[in-house]
Amino acid sequence: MDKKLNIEICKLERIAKEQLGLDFYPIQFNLVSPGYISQIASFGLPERFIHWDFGREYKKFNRGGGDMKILELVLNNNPAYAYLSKDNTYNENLFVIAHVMGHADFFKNNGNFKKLSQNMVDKAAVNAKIVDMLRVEYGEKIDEYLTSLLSVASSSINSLQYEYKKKENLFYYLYGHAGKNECYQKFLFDMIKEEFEYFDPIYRAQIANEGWATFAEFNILKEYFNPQQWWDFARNFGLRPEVYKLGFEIYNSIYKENGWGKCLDVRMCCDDIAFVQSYLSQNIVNMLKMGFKKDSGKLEIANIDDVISTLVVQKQTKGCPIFTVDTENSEKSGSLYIFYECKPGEELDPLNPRNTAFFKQIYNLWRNDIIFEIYYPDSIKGKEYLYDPEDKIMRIL
Amino acid sequence: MKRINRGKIAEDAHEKLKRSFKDKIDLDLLLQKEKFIDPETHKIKFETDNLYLPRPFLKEEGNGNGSKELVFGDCADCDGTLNIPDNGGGLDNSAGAESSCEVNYVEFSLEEFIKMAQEFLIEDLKLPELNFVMTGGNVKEDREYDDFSRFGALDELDIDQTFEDSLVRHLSEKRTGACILDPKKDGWYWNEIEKKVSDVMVLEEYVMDISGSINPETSKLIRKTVFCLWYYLDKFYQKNERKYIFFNDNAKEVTLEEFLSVEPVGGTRLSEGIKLGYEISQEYRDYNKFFFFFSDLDNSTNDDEAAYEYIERVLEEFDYIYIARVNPNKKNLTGFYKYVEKLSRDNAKIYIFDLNESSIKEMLLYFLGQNGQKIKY
Repeated sequence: MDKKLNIEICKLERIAKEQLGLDFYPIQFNLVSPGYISQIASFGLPERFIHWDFGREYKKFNRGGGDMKILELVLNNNPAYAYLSKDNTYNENLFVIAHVMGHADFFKNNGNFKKLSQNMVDKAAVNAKIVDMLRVEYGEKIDEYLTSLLSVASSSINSLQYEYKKKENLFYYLYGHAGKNECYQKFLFDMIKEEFEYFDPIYRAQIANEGWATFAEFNILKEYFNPQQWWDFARNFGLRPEVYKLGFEIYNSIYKENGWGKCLDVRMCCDDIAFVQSYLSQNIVNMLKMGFKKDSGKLEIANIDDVISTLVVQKQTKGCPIFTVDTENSEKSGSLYIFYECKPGEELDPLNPRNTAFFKQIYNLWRNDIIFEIYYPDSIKGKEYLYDPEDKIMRIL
Repeated sequence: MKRINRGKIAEDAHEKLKRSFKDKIDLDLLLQKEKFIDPETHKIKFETDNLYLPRPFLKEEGNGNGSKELVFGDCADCDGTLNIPDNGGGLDNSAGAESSCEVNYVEFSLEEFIKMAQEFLIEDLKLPELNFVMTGGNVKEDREYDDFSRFGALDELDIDQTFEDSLVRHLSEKRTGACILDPKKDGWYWNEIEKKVSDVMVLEEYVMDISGSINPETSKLIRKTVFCLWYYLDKFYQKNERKYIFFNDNAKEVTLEEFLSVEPVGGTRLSEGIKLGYEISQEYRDYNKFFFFFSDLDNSTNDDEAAYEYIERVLEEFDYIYIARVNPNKKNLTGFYKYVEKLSRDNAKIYIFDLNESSIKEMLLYFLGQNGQKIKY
């Protein structure tokens, strides 16, 4: 790390801790190539098992296909690891150092992150080595099984669910019945579960986390920058993604109404749903011109309740239809009974090849009959389908 | 310690998976180019089912969960859509699994498509692999990633053993000991000594008859042959000039895309195609020149004399001439066929053969075997 930058880090840290009352684990800053940042961004961690789906993400980030240049990455760990891009300008590095301090503070203090492992970087690296060894032993089976696990986990794991609901969760149900699986399959199940649970709060509290990091960055730099630097910062600030702006504006409104102390409280206890439900106001919706596009293409500024309900649904479903396990029937019959309740406008066609491909992944983990039941809004009885592993299609029962 | 690029390994695995879709590729697709080639990007698209992680999806694509789409009115850096699972800009939030709701397409440039179609055809025809490498540094990328991945980290490797294994592997695969060690590759690979081929300038001309007597099956056969020829010529010459000409009553120089997708129509004047090929070649002094001529040789009766004249000129100008007769009908040998057959008896530079599914293989084996020795490289 550059000596001059190290001095700046010390100064910024002093402002963050002494003047603003932030509290975070030591941060290890690393100046790395943009390619290495792309690698971490696509995998989620510096050393993680290899899978082709991360490769798709890596290509997107590395070839400039992503939405924007990645300036930094920070990992929830003790010590926190932060990676700054070598391509950043000097001032950009100062922005991201302050931003990282906001994230590190959020990781240490927010309730959603407190129960997480603070050593996931090392754990994932060990897991990656084991997966490499398993590949030597089992070959392509490992990648196929990982694809199935990633596929089901990414559409099922959601820690917003209550603990008792986990019994009905597709991934957790399969995990609970993985006793007969081979040893390597159990290991992969454990690994995916642990890693997905580590990542889940990041999604769960993304607006609150990014908003807090941006708000902290703003306040740290306000104390530190000269007018020329502030001008640079203002230009960069205007280009931040909308999630950052939304979070920032909510914290800013809390600060104006209730002071800095209240902001510190909010960052400790909120996930995104609580955050927007409690603190998003119509003023912010109007200011950010949040709304829904009409058929004519015109934007209609939304009512606060509509915005909140839309955000809550997005957070709960991760943009993906949620399948539930019928545990009673499954336990009785030994087959896997999955059901899905269609809401108006949320119809799902199980015969579509893309959905069939998903059932194929479930079958790969379950290895027994799969019965899928779909309930439509107006009908009392659901429609049943059976997955046929021979022809790899769904059949109507 | 050198850091292993896990991203590159994963990207390579993704590319491999993409390439596994090559069995869906058929040259006929190019004939339906309106359907597959994007008019704006000129990319060739194939719909796939499992390039992204399979996830359940609703009938209404794009809405994801069926909710309304929330947008920001003055979003400066995007289309205004509030994209909650945002990966860019800082904190990475996912396990790389947020993309299943995207449209599942594989996209190839025309060049990529041709390379994949070539490999598919080479496998399909069971044509031989070239057992020599013309340029240095031809490392098999796949193997690199697999090997690193298998062993996990460089510092765990027994380098001496690795050197030995690598050399043995090299000798068995390449059947040559003429190699140098590339220190940048940590002794993991052996590169062939580079042969000086880069200075050789080559012109390839592909002249195709598109008159009405050439049916679609025949034109497909021609394309298949041309694809296979490119595959091998690419190995010899990295920077070849390639010219594509088609002719019926008139001749025209065309782009690769046109060459691949034209429909047969009109009469036949062989001299037109040969003449244009000759004229184009005049612009390429000091080149090695290959002339590939595909036709049923069913010429207009009043054109034979002109065709004889230009084929003689082409013979003087080009290093090798390959004349492939399609729709062979031995009972009705045309005047032009007899003329070039006589030429081929007297001149080793000209080859004439009947083109059908099985003769593609024979022709290429001949090209690689006997003629390959004569090619300057």
